[in-house]
Amino acid sequence: MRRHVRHFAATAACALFAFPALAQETEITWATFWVGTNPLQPWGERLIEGYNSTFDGQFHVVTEEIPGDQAYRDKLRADSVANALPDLITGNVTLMRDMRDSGRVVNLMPFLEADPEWLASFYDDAFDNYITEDGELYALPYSRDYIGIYYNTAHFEAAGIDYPTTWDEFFAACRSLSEAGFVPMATEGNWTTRLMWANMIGTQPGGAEWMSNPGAPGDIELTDVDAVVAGTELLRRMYTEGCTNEDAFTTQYSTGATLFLQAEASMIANGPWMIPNIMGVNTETADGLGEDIAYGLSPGNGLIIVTGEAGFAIGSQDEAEIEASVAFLKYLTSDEQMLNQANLVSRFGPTRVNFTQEQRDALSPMLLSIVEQSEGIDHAFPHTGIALPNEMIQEFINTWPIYAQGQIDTATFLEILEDAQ
Amino acid sequence: MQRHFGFSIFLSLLPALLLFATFLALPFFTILVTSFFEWNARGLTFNGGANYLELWDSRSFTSAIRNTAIWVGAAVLLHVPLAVLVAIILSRRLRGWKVFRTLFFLPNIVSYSALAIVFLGFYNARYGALNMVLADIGLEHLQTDWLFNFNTALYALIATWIFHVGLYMIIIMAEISSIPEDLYEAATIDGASEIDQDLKITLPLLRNVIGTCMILTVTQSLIYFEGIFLTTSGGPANATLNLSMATYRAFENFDWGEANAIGMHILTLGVVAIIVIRRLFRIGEHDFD
Repeated sequence: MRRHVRHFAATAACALFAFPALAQETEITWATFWVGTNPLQPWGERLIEGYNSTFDGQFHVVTEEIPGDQAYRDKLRADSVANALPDLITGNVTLMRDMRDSGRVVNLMPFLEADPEWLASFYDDAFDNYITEDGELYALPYSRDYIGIYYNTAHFEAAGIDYPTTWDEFFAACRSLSEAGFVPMATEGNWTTRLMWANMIGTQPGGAEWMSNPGAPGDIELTDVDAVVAGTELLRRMYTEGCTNEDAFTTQYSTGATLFLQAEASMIANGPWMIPNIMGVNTETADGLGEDIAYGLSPGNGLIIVTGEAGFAIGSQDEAEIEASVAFLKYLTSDEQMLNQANLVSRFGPTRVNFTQEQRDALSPMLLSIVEQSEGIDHAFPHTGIALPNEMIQEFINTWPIYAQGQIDTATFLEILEDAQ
Repeated sequence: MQRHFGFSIFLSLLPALLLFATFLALPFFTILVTSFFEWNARGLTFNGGANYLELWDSRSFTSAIRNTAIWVGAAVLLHVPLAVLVAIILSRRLRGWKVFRTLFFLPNIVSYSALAIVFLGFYNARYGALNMVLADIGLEHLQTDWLFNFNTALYALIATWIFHVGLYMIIIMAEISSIPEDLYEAATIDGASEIDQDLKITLPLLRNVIGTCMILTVTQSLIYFEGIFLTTSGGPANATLNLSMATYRAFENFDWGEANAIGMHILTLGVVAIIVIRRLFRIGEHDFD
């Protein structure tokens, strides 16, 4: 027996010497919610395969799957307090801010500065959402989104109207679409409603500037800002004039999205990541929906443009794991992966990638169309999730129904939001 | 010998003591202590009673207390009395009583989460069954967005739960079956009607079990969460916010110290409720041997 053990130990030792890479491979964990039916799942899968094969024997990434972005956020927050963050974390700006506040994520700027080519590949404004006043970069963006309004051209044709370019035209279009038997604008009282709120504020005079720099959390004023007041009243008008679905307060994304994907609603505000769903990927849609949908600007000739809607942070504290994680981020933002992202989940990245004509032709026409339209806009602004603190957003979701239903006036509504920050 | 005996008692109690310490005493102590700290991503900072003062000054906490009180009131005044009524009726063993007992108990084996999703559809303003029924019977003027109208939301939510009396009904029926039959026979000989028997024999003898049900329903009302979280999340405008939901919101805002301060309120109210109900219903005292 002892001879067998000795023999086995010797064989194992020889194997390790013969394949030193096996002994040195650094394994990192990526806690991810890009699983199941999440729109980013196909890209995530490709990313892991590509990274593990590119760095075979040197680095290896494994996933800790946490389905649902809410559950993911709760778990990561608990992990940060317990000082037990995974090596790689991904999430939206709110979660990344939580990670920043925990002081337990790695400052990525030194790694970028050490690789000038990598640093130069990013757009100039790419880091705006993730850089601190001290110049520390607590997360790396992986997306640059053009968030417009999807509209069903068949509905507009049936109603005998064109897609609106001003807010007056928008409300007239709502009336025509309603008369034609469609729900004009699909909303749910949360994400898509807030996108419309951003559009309505951002296209007011001075609105885009305010949205881009509303002030520090705790000092943000709403009631004294004309663009905010006007935009908020437009949003209420959208509800009172019957532009939106009757069940517009459920706060469940599926409420509005299902209406649009089943061709019952004519418009919905959302990001380009919805394109695969519209094309029927992992989603039940009305027959031929993809052919009828176009992607347009906000009335008022504005567009939500966000670099770094979401990002990646490194939670590791071990040098080897940090090195492997940085390699992952470099791989994530490589031209190859940015092209994969655009192809698989219809999303552009934060880096300057020159796609060949052939590569561009393979991308979604809706995605290309919104980028092309963005070149002629009057107003570019972020959405409320970027501009406003989480407490204010939560209070918006909470109070919006009674404001829309006319139980409080605009000043009171905005004061309540101010108090929440 | 006696020392050995004491040691063996200690050993036999140790697993239970360890479980108690790990899952009850330690969490309670943590909640109590951290409710006096600002606890967020940056760590813990002692802030005295600031969490409590902020809560008592906050509009949403006032709403949470008021809504929790209404919920508890509905539990005490409707939930348990309804269970008693159903239990007494079914205990008469009228035809089909077993079918009704099963029907009343069925919702108790369905999770609150599943029920919440069902009621989300039932109350939906666009395709909900309730609005459709109202339209069919000519009451269109009563149609509303039940769960997202400030004036109806809380009551619509309470209604999703108030009729699930199956568990208490079963407990009370078991108690009724243990009441000596000769009491009823004597009452019948004395000419007492069935209602007289229910009011003067059954109800007074159910005092203990009704008190127990009251404790269960009140404590359950204080911590009720899933149904609210999955439907209204405490909105609109805090109309359905209760203490448990307020705790979650504080947690969501990364204000864990405040969340634990709300937790202390729930705990205190629960303990006070148990003491008051035990006293009122003289739980533990026997009326007959």
